Amino acid sequence: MAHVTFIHGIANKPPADQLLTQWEQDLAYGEAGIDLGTRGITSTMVYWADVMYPEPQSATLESADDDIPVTTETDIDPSWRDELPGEQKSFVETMAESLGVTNSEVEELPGDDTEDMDDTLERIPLPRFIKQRVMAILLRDVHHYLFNAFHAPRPGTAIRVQEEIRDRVVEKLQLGSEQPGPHIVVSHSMGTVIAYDCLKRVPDCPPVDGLMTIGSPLARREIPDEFKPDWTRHDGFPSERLLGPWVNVFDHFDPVVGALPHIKRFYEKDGEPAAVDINEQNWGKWRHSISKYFQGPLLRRSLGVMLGG
Amino acid sequence: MDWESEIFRQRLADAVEAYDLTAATDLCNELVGRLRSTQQLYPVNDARIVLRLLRRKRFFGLMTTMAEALLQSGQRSPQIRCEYAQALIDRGFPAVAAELLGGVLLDATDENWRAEARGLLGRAYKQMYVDTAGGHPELLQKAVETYGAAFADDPDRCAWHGINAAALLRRSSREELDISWSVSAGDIASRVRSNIEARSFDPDATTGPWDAALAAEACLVLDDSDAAVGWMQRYAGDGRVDAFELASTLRQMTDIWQLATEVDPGRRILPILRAQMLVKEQGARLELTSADLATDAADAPLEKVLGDAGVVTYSWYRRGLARSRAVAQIRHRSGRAVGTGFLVKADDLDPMWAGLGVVLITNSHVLTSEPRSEETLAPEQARVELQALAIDGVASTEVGVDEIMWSSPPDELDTTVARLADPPHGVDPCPLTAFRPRLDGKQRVYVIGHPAGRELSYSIDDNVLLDYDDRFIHYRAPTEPGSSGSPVFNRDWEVIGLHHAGGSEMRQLHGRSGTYPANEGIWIEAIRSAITTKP
Repeated sequence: MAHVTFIHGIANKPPADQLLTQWEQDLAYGEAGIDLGTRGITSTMVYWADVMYPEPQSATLESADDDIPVTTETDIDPSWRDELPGEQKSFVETMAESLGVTNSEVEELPGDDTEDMDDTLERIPLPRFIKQRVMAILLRDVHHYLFNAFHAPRPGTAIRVQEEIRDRVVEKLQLGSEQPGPHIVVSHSMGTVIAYDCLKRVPDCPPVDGLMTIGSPLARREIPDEFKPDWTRHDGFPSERLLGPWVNVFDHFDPVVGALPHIKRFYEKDGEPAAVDINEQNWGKWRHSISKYFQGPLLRRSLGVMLGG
Repeated sequence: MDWESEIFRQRLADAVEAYDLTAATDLCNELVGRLRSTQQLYPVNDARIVLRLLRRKRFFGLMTTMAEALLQSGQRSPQIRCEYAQALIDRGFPAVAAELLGGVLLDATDENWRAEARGLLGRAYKQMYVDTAGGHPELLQKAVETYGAAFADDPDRCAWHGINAAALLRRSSREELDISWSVSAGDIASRVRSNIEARSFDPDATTGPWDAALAAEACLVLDDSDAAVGWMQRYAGDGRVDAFELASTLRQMTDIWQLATEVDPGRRILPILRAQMLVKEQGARLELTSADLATDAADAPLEKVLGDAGVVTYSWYRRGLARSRAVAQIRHRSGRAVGTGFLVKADDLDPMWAGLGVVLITNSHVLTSEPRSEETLAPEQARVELQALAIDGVASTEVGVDEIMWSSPPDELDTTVARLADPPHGVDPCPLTAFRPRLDGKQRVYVIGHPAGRELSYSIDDNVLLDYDDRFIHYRAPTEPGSSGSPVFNRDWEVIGLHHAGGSEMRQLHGRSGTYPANEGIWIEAIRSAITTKP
């Protein structure tokens, strides 16, 4: 039977076991759901929210219909951008501009939260004050990971972000590789950057049989540049450790994926497009939600095939 | 008492949680022995915890034994006697329970326990009225008086007593019985409903799921069925409500309100409760009639009533209902129920059987060509009753067995595949799974069958998949004789096995020593493999 290793994305999360249960439930939800347990498919979660946050979120904000995982309470301290060395500063400024995070301070809200949003109309694009909050978190997480920054989620705990997360990925992928059947990595948001980095650049990382990236920022121009020299456009596909397909699922109105979300143009195999991009139409105001992606029929069909029918 | 009460409770909780009746019995016997050997009273709070642990998994026999021992040891607090009475009612002894509760009301001074005792006493009278099939209206009068007086004395604390009084008054009106009370059913219900509505809008008020159930019943009394459905959905969807509570509410809806799935509001309320029962962690047996199987609420405004998640649950439940239409009772031609069977596509079992349509699959200890015991039927003795045929308007719901196509003896795969004399039309056969579920202690199975020859029922009590090997699957769904030959489904309502045995001392798989309480089914894949490799 197959095995799935999940890698979650940005923002704080509930404890690891709850998060895994929630993702499995979202995937199983409804008539055409994929119930991993019923199919005998084992799974694990590469959990890294504790690397960035002092304690787990008490209740998930990402399971409701139109949940948005940011509020004024989730704002992060922007002071980390104050004293970056030149190369990093340049990356962060370019990335911030691309993400629409133009100031180091998150813009004041026209109300405290999402209450001012019109419930009857879909907000496309996402209101600026929400987008800024999400992108501020994404910017920090991407930077801290790509530049292996020190981060102190709790007093007295300083963690090298990339090093720590890479170790966790390798450990979980090793566990998965010991299971019988195909081993598929399903990653979301910042988790897709982590998955790609490990498969492309970490020698200890065991090979896997399939990769699904969901709501990924990997097609944002600034990110593959940071994978150089291991990455080139013509040899971006992580062929050494990805033995099967790479399916990238996006929603055009997901603010994380960017204006041109197709990854196959940046991650070719021997100069030829090899990854598959799928446009999954989510709904509501918050299109980055993993719950919504997991209910998408195209995603489910592709994942079903990757898991062996 | 000089022993570790907390450790004992933890051990008992573990045994109860594992549904291990043998271990729970041993532990209770140990406690009974200690109670008998000491003059020191067992603390009342500890005793209540022990009794409630047992009640949680419906170990009512043990609960009775423990409560009796506690009373004998001198622990006669109202709490213990109320728990004892509860167990007696649940075991079918409401008259004895009423006597016990009468004693509690004579000497209990705490208002909470007086209210509890009055509620239980009302329940005992109500149960006696139901048990006597309405033959003793004076029992209904007593139930109304008991509930009604409690409500009159303390309407806030005793709202559920009031609603029960109102429901019984409405029942007596329907049955044109001369039952009276000083306050009308409508007045009681209006008061309860307005109190709950006021609390539900008050951010500082504490409301529990039972409030929603009470409000639903109040709306039924007031003939506001749309509001009743809304409240019932709120109640059923509340994560704090467990399946035992849902089962109790379901009983109230069917036994007292006499709701049925053919007509409103039962058509909308009963499926909500049943669907939620099936998805809860623990449950009670869910029995269905052929009318339930025929109910089609597809045209009901489900999204509005149930919400998105509720619709998914309901749609999943309906898939389960559809599966149960392919489940048959197997009887001797004299009418004696012997077991259960189910219909599958012949070529799902063996591609060589393509074109043969549907076939019946059951245990070979239920049906075989050469029976070795009186309990096993030969094809010419067997009648296969499909409730689904009644739904489709077929006069005779029984069909005969044409021939045995394949059989494996009880000590091997205990399976028989048979062709029916007149295969039914319009019944979707049960699909077979291609997968083995994950063994993580979280996977659930659903057994649909005719336990003890009764109506079709879902076993959902504690239906955890425990273990499997290449031939058998073990699960904890409680089953009874008559379930033999039932399909065992996974959460996707695909057949994973054929139920064939169960007991409190099932030998463990993989050569492990020891036994545990479990049911045993035959892997559908093992059956399929044996059929396709037959000579």
